[in-house]
Amino acid sequence: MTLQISGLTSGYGRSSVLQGVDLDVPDGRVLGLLGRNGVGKTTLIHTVMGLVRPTGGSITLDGEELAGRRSDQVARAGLALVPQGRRIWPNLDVTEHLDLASRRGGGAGIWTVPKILELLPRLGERRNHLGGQLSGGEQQMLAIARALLTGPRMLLMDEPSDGLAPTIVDQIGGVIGTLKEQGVTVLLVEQDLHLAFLVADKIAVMVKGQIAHRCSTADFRADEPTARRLLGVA
Amino acid sequence: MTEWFADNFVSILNGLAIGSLLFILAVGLSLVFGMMDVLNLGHGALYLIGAYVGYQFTGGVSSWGGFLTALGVAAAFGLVAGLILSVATEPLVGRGHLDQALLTLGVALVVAEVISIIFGDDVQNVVAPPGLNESIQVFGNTYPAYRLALIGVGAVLAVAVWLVIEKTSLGALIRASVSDREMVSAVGVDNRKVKAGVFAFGSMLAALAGVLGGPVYGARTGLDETVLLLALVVIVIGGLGSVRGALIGSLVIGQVESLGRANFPDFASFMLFGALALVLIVRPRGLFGSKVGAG
Ligand SMILES: Nc1ncnc2c1ncn2[C@@H]1O[C@H](COP(=O)(O)OP(=O)(O)OP(=O)(O)O)[C@@H](O)[C@H]1O
Ligand SMILES: [Mg+2]
Repeated sequence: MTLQISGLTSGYGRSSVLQGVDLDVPDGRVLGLLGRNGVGKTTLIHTVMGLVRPTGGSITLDGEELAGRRSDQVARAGLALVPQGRRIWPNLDVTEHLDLASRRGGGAGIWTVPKILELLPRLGERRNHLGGQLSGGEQQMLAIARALLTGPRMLLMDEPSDGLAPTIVDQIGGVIGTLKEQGVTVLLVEQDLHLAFLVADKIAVMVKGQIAHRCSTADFRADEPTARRLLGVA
Repeated sequence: MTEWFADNFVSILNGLAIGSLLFILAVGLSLVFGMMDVLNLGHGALYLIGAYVGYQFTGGVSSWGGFLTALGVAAAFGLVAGLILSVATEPLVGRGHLDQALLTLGVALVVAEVISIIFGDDVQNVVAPPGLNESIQVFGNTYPAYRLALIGVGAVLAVAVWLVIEKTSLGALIRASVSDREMVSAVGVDNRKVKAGVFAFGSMLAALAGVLGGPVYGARTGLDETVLLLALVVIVIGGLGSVRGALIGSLVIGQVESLGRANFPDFASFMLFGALALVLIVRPRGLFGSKVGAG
């Protein structure tokens, strides 16, 4: 499942955020997308998912054009979103989340509720709890489960480590590792370099609405000055 | 206390009857507003259509056949009107409440005008069906049987709607749409279909409320504005998109209206908005609101 983005522009009302993004995520790979706060990472993810309307450019999934489609159509084409802030439905319990996500049986259909509970056993224990009663880590697991149950060919993950304790971040890293072994393609937005380095094959860095740098994870780790210049960290 | 209760018993029953009717009316409005952020000011006109359908099919005679036919026709009318309104407001989703208010209010004004052309401006009676068209004794008070039945219908509907919303997968879909519809579409569900379904269902209930309210309030011009205002107060008090909120809001407003009119006839409408102001000061999102409508 190859995602190709070219010349993508979008924004909110009169303020344009994406200034022509070119990016591709090869089949079965994990691409780590880094960038400082406010550069437009979430806007990119939301535009790809159909939640923000692009003003120009193209987004193709194995050649199928997705730009301008509604997000339910994008979901049915095989993309799934693990959104920033998790956005669990607070007044639905865990079972209801899983049921709602697997409503359409799932595109690829590899992921079933029993399989999900095997991957994320904590969710089984909390089956009858409302989304709003879960801890941050549990909500993140549920957000991942919700995305997988739609039967995606590719996962868009927006800062899954945000606000979570290091042990939970490691668990999430483990889950992404498992997904990778199963050939799920992932676009992973992260501020946590540790997690990005752990799972990503390639790194792309966004600056002011454009992709400013792209290389393998190993090269990126070796090139500290560039990392510091683009991210102001490391 | 017990003496006050005895003195006001009839008013309290009246308040329950008004509350029942308001719940049937307000629950759909609340769900559509809470879920899709669409303000449908045509909701009162649907009630008005129901009231005149009731008048048309009962024709001033007490008959079960006529009354049930009226209910069926009103329900069908409401379903179709709801679907049409849902499609018509589709381009306005996310464009702010003023545009939606103008469109739906425009439709409501046209409907009210057409009705007044067809039926004239006289107050028309809708007669309760046989058996309910009389008064009975309740704890030593004479009380219209129809209003008791109305309370019963309201209670049954409230329980049924609550069960559907809280206990079924369809209800889960609706609750999820109320709290975050973007995430609902991100799992592959077309928001427009959910909205159309809820819109149709809510509009059907509004039209049914018109028939059901007929034997109490009759059919007359201006009723649409009165009930729309009450329904809006109910959902503001109860909180958008909450069935429980719509129920509590309806019961509160029913009592405020009824007890207020009985005890302080000069201040009744002040009390209505006093209750509204009080709730908004203490709980700006309503008693059970999970969010305020954006835009
Ligand atoms: N819904 C919105 N309406 C208007 N402007 C927005 C909206 N969402 C984001 N923006 C603006 O768009 C720009 C990019 O925001 P975006 O959320 O895409 O950044 P980000 O890279 O994901 O940041 P972070 O790392 O903090 O999540 C910011 O200037 C932000 O203020
Ligand atoms: Mg972001």
